[in-house]
Amino acid sequence: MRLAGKYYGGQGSAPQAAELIVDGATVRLSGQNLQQTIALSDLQIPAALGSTPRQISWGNRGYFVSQDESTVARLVALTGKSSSLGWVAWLEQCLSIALVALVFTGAAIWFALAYGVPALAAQVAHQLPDEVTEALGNSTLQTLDNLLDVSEIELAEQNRLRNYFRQYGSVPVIEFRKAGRLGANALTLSGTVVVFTDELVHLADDDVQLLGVYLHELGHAKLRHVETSILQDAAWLVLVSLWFGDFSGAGELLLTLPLVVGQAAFSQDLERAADEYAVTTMLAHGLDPEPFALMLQKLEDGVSANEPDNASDSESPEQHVPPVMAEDAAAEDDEAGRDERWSQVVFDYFSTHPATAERIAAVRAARQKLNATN
Amino acid sequence: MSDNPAPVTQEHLVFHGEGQEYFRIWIVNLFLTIITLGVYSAWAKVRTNKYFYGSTELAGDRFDYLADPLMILKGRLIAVAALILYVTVQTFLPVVFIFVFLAALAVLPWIIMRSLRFRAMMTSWRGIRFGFAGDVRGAAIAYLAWPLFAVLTLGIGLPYAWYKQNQYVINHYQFGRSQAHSTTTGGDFYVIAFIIMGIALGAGLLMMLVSVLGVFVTEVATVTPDVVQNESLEVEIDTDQAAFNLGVATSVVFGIYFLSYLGIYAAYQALRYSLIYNNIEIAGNRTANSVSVFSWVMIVVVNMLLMVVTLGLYYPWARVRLTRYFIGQTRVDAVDLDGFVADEAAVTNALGEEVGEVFDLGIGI
Repeated sequence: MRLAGKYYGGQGSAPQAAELIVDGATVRLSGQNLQQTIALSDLQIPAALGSTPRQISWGNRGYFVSQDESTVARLVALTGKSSSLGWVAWLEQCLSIALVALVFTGAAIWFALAYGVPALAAQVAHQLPDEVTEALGNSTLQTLDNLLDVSEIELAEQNRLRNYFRQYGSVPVIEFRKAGRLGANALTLSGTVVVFTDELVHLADDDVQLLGVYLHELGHAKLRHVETSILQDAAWLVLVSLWFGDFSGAGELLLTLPLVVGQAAFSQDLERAADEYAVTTMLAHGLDPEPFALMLQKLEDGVSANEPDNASDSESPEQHVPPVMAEDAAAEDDEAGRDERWSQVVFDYFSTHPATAERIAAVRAARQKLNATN
Repeated sequence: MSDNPAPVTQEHLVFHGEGQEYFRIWIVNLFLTIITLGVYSAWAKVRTNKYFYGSTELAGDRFDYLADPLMILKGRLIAVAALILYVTVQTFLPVVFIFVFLAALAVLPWIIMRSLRFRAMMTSWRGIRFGFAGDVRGAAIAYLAWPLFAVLTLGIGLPYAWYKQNQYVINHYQFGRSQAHSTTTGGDFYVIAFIIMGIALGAGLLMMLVSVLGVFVTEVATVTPDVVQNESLEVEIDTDQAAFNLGVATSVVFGIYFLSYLGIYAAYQALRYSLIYNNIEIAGNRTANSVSVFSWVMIVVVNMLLMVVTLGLYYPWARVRLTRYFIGQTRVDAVDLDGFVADEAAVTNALGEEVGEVFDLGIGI
């Protein structure tokens, strides 16, 4: 077998026309002023990579290259060796394998985003040492204090509320602040810090309504939701770098999209979990959770609030939709009804909180269930 | 000096890569990287670069990428550990973070220099490697001092900083024993800066127009909630539909903003690459580059739109399209391409350079 091509010795850039002549177990490199004898078993031919010409070497410094890919392939067969990445080249050559790989990749990404990363983040969040959660909560509180004012609620009243709350579950730091723009709200800053705004305290009719909100925030704290969110973002960042590190420039922007979209759904799950924690705790202490449902309604009817990053709060309606319209799930089966449901579905998907009506319904359903079993 | 100038041959670079070819390499890379939890990514990177370099032809011969995947894997593991540390400190210990940030800044010139050196040494043509002889001091001046100057002069010095960075990179590049030179002037970079400002201004006006239209559409499409609250009003207003319309209008405006920014950035890339690659000389051989800003921006914007529509699947074709355009507009006015000689000392130093791969800066020719 003869293979015509060029030889570069590695010392200079001047090409030398040459031939590789295979004769049994030896190969001769032959050209003008060029003669070398090589054992066939010493030939190193890399695996195919697209249609790039392969550079054949034999432990020397230079290489031999030919445009005659079919003869090179025959030569590969002759050597009886397969290069270390031969199986990869085989995978690449088969289109159906590429499609299988595609489907698998899509599924893997979805799985990681929906389950893997959140589960891992939650695990780690629960393992975090107390010093870390304290540091996180305190530093966020310091930052927030740039936006918030000192509370106008009497210290005696603050302590009374703290003692009252702590009968049902404790968190090291319960603070009160005057919010101004933030409005009626309660925030969990970490596993150890919960903040109430004066406006929220004034909005409530009685202590039990506030207790519902407190227990919701306690749920966020005990379940380490804030830490989980942060870790999730970080984990996605690391995973993206590992998997897609070679994307350049604007492509990377695209890669944060799944996280942004998924974040809203994830956040809704956390809110539901916190609601459930509140209701369960109240029922366990023999309390009727209805005040919590009423408080949710009061917050919904009240002024809209903004949410700061990385804190979980009680209430933040994204749009002012009167509950009556949102609850119209069993709307008439005409076009208008369907359009209404669709746009509501889209908005609900992108909200950080589940629709208030849904939350209220869940609280009342839990109460119903308990009454039924009694 | 000879009276007859050496004859010049125009060697046009050719890119032989194909979208569907690269797609298969890319998807198998992704697949194997995922099932090996990222370990295969080092091999994937080498394979990708070998494909792109190996598909680029100059004067009948292809380029090659010589990095050893194990080297790159080592570098990547270090990078991941550093990234985790960085993110952890930033989130949980903000006070310490400032020190970490300053430390990272101090190490940056060294990382840049090693990265340039690595990329250069792992690139070869006709069996001869490129090289990079810049030192850390030069990198610190180019990448810390000159940008600082740009900041202190409120941006006026920025094009000059670009010029100085280009000088650092190109003037220390080597091919074999031959030194590369950049023939750009500081003024060239100011010309780019003015063109970009002009484009940004134009795009800015466009975005303002879009904003005004957006506000108008919003007014028409939405209804104030107070109207709905007023129970004495008999007419039913569909706030759901209004809110939905608002959402759509906002997305469209946002999309146009995003494409405008992308366009400006792409224009900057085109102008800068074109300038740099039009002004490299090695041993009498000169490069020439005729990339047109308009064509480049069109390719980038269309690529982005198609990638969004295909949820990223279009990426391999996008990358090949852009590379083919850029390579196709590059040529070498060659005086003698056969006379290069390998730098013997550099060959033995090629190993152990993997640290430069650590933060994968991808700077270099």
